[in-house]
Amino acid sequence: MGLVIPRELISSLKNKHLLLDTNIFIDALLHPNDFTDFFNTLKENNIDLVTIDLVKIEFLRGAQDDPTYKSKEQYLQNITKIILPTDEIVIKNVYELLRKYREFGKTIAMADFYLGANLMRYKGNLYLLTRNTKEFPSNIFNLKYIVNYPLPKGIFTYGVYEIKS
Amino acid sequence: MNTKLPVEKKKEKINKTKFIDLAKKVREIFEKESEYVQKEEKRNGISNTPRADFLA
Repeated sequence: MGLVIPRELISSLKNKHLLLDTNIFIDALLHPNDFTDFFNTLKENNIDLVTIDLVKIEFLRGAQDDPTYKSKEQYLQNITKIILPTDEIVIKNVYELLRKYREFGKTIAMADFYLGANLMRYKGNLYLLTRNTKEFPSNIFNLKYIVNYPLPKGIFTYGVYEIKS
Repeated sequence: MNTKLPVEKKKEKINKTKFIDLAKKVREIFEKESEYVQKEEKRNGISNTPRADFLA
């Protein structure tokens, strides 16, 4: 059946960018056939797939030698070649998010702060795709769309988030 | 403030056959890495960074 993409997602994200979390790269490993269709549909509709260094690092770490490192890197680059730069505005946004998350921030992974900080940096043009739907609270982020992926056992659910005004 | 995002000028579609082969290879790498993580956790306690663990 593949991933069920809401029709409005395609039209409203046209010419915009979709930021991929680590779990997207992992899930595509498990279901490459369906994810190829999904990624290609987004690309065909002029939606740029991007990620950040922290996600790339999470994905690449632990490679036992150069060939395995290169295979992992090649896999990631098949999906996206664009790594958003971490500039001082992004860092400033991370600190702003730390304040907004308050005590909930204690349980948040570092990469999630940077994903959120990039949404702030490129507000209106950048959306996040993640299966990690607990870490992006509704007081800070808008859940814009839900992408479901029915599997023989269960359903994977992905959130498409934007930063709130 | 520059808010212009980098764009992939030539949006190359993913070649499904090649991608599936590569994914299979990388999946095996992740499975080996997970075995290593599990062994390490038995020996030295639970890792504090399980976010990208293949089996998580």
